[in-house]
Amino acid sequence: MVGPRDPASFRDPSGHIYILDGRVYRTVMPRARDDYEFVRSTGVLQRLARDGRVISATEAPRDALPVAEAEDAAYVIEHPAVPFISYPYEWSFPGLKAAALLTLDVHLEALDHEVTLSDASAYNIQFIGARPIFIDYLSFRRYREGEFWIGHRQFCEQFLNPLLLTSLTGVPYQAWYRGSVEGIRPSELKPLLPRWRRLSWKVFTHVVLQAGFSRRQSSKNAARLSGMKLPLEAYRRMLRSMRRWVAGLTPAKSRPTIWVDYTNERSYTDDEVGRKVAFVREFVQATQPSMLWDIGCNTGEYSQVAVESGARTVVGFENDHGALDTAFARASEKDLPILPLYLDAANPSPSEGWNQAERKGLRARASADAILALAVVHHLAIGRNIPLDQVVEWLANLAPVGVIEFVPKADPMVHDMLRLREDVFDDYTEAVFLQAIQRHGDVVKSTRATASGRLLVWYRRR
Amino acid sequence: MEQRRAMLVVFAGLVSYSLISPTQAHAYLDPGTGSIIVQAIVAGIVGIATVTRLYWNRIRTFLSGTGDQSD
Repeated sequence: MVGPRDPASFRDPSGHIYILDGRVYRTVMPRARDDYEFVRSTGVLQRLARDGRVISATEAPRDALPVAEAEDAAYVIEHPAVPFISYPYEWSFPGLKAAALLTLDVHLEALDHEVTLSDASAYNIQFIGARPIFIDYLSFRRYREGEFWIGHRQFCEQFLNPLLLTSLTGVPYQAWYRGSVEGIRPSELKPLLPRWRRLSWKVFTHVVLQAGFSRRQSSKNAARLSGMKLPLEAYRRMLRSMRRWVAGLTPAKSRPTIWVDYTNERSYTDDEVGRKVAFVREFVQATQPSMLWDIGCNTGEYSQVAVESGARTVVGFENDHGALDTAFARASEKDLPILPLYLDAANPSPSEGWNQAERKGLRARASADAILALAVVHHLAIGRNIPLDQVVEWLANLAPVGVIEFVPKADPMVHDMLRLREDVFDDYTEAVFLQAIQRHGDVVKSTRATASGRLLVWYRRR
Repeated sequence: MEQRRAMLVVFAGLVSYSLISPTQAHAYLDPGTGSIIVQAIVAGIVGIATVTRLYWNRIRTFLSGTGDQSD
């Protein structure tokens, strides 16, 4: 099957997603018709869409979607496009937690209307700013009396276990999650938990017991289980108890982080900060980007300046967990259109999953209208030994316009980075930096940001 | 009334494990053996705890002789 069908839309035969000229369509196949019509008649999705918890949908004529599948479909519906698709392995701890809580809240509300969720995938959630939104319309179907929480295992693997890993051991889940794509299995998490942690009733049942029972997958077990029923009240209690548990999870103090106090401990003065803010503001006001990427967004200070100056949406990328969580809290508390994500610029998200197309790499997924790369070049060029001209080329290729900051060797930050190592960076100079920029575009404006010699350059790609 | 309703729910929960009519879930997802057993255990234990609490409250009410039914 070639064409506009989304390569991640293949698991559930109830319907599929198509993307045509930036518009998002979903087919509802005949097998899902009854459930779709029942859910529609309850009005619960319209209610959840009104307060922004579930994506809105409008029924479209079937010929709006010129693909073969649409001819057989019971319905074709259209959804508004989400500004930036992100994946759970890119979300901060509070981001994954907010997505988990939304999944449970939506499920509980649906149950009040005799509607349930057929899965609990973290990929059902996207973010608009720091607000999670449930996007999979066909996950909703009629509740059948006595049924179990079908998505329980998936909820554990894609939400609970990654959060527990970071909360109980201090190990960030992002790298593991990116590698496995489907989350962390109970049997993988169990041996990592300290013994006394396994004594907690919730950890014992949802992690230890689930790991143990999953091993014995006999057909006898399956036959016996298929006759069991779960009363609705017990179902609700389980969701509520899971919600209380997830709501109380926080990252362990032992989780590694460096930059969280950076804004309080930085090496330059308020006046110098003011100069940087003014430069960013002028750049954003002049370019009015609809999508700005803030590479190395730290706690989101300049992302906020950008949205306040007219950027419609900002996606921030940061690889320090403490700074990232603070940025998420900033966006969330002030309800700013900023989505801070975990990303190592030297190793951005790859294309992976089924057929290496299911989850798209950063560059294959989206592009930016503008970038900010403040105090990030030296981390790549000196911290990661990437040649300066390659760093500039990578940044300039991300967006047609942007602001890049060059931090010279004389600056205390770079000075510290070189203290214990040989300076092999002969090409790390302002002249080489400016030459690299001019190879790709023009310098619209530049300013000396600090007394230590930091340079801010506003470039426009040719 | 609240007590009676809760007891009925709990009772239904405990009994339903041995019931016959299989609940064939309409799901593209495999819920997994471990997950179903865990849910059954959690629901069962919570059920037993609720029944115990209800009876304990009744015994306490009886012993204290207040006849207060509101718990």
